[in-house]
Amino acid sequence: MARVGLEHIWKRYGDVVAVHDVTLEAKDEEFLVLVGPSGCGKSTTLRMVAGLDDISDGSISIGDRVVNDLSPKDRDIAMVFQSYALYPHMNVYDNMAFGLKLRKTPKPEIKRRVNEAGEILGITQLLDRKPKQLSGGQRQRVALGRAIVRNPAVFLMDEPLSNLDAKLRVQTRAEISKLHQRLKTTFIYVTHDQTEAMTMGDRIAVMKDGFLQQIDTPQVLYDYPVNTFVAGFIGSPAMNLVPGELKQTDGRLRVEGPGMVVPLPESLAAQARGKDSSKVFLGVRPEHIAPKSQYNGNAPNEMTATVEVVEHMGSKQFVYLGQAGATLTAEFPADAEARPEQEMQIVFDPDNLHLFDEASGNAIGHSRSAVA
Amino acid sequence: MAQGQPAITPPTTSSVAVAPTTAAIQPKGRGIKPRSYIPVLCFLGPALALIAFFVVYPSIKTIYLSFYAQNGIGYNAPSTFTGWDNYTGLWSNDQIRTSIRNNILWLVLVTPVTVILGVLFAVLFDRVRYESIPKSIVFIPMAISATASGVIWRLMYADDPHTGTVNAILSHLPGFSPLSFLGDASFVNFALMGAQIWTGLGFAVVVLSAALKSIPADLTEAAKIDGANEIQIFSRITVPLMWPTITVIITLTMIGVLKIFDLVYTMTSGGPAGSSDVLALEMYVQSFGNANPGVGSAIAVVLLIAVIPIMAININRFRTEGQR
Repeated sequence: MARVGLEHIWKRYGDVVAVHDVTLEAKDEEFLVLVGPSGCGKSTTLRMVAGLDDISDGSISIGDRVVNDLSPKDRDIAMVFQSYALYPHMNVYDNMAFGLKLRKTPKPEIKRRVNEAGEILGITQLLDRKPKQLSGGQRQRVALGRAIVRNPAVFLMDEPLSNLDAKLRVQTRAEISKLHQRLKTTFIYVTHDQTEAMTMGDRIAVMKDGFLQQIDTPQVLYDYPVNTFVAGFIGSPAMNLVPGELKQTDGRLRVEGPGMVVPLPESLAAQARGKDSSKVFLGVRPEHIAPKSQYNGNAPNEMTATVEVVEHMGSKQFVYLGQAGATLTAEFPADAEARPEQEMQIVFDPDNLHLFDEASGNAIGHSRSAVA
Repeated sequence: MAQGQPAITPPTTSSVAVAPTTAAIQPKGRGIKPRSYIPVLCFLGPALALIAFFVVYPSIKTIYLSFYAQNGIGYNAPSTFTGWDNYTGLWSNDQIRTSIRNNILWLVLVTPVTVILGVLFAVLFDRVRYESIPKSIVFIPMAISATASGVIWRLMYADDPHTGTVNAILSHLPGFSPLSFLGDASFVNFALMGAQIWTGLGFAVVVLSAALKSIPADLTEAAKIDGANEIQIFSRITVPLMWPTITVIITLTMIGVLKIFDLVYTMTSGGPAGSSDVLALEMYVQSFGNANPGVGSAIAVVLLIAVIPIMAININRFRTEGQR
């Protein structure tokens, strides 16, 4: 068990900078997820923590030790690879025991630990099989088992679920979370899948182009994204970002865009004060767009939209609305009436609006400003 | 926990419906209808004919000849059946015994040295930035015919330090004087083997290097994290994963060494005093030099029998590889 600290980490490959000045911390026993699109530097960051890639600048510590110059074997870490990286010439038992054998662990102890890990993961009946005789899900468990038996201070996982089919991925996701609760060890988990990040992480670090964008709990990332990238990346379907201009009329701030005028609630207006006539993006999540007929409460904004596509999900429906040339994604209750080509009045929930500067993409403010 | 069983069982009705159809199709596919022999023969015929004429017939003829003693020279020379005499004669002939001993020495030394150097060079070159340069240098001898490399090495080993590179180097080392590599019975075999290793190493390095490159980087990285040092990664991950390719190199080198002829023929012709003679050379000398094709054929059959187990291992390995 240990905290992992990254201080001003850089990774350069010649002129290419893969990781820019990243500072973050995985607290002891925390499940920290690094998430971002491919090429954002998340895997490189993880590999630097593992010691598989050198750091160009900065310092990494695990527990109280700075590990910059330590080889992977001396960092007290275990890693699960995307490809599982099981040794094809060894059976499952030997795959799991390999690290312990190298560390000269006594045989009975190796046996006890491998069997224990096998039981946790339900693979005891597979111990004498070779990796090629296993299914993808079973290989994945063996890879986890190989990490568990070592009893490391930190678990590093590099997209361990991406080779599994959708159903198995959901199942294994929950199992890894359970494993984390059971082992009470620090996990650093890399994924490009925001759903995995949201469901598994105690905290999530969002990266893009080698820069750390935001690190916080899933709910804070969802409610208070610091920029349009995080707003669009976290949440599915993504947040709608409607371009408009911030204007002050009769002492009230409002966003005016094609076919819409959205007065800002006082909480948001207070944060946006002084920025009038700047170009902005108004952010609204799909679940905060409602048909006017179903919206109870005082809707200070209202606009006309045409239904383009309806996706029924059973418990809800995703409705793609054409509004002044743009497409908005809305999440309506299952019983809301929406047919393609139907015209309807929609409203944005004023208590859940986000405002971003168009040029920088940075957040100006959020309606729910209590925590921001 | 579920262990990868299929989550969805196909509806029973459809599997019932499919079963008889496949069962009905299967036997049809097995037998070849008389009409379809023609395309089969068109495709396989030329190859079969060539193999029959150039491989099967000469082999049978060789086995046949090995039981006869020819009286005189020429295709129509009268021959008499001598049973196993040509074979039993092999063991009483000192020169042939020397050849057999030399062939065994070649097998025991050239094979492991080629393989070990091949693996070592492949692994070392893998770490070099401009890998293709040393690899090309080691591979170049492959492009030279064995006869030409025999001529090159005869010059390399020449007694006169002004001509022979090896002796030129030796004469500059303190405490060494030029040696007669090809003229001294105690060196000549090792000198020839050195030339053969130089010739054959390139192929081994290139093939083993390809095998090394096919090992995913993830595996060595996983081993590093598991706590393995470089030597442990090499011995417990790299070599086991390269093993199928290593066995190919071992068998190919063994077969090549059993057949070794041209290098010995061009460099020493078996000398001095027959001390570097090998079976293939002796087969040639007996058949064409001594006009004794019966004995030559018997040697050929012995060589064939010696190669069979190696071939069998190789073929068997390919078969099990295919099953994986």
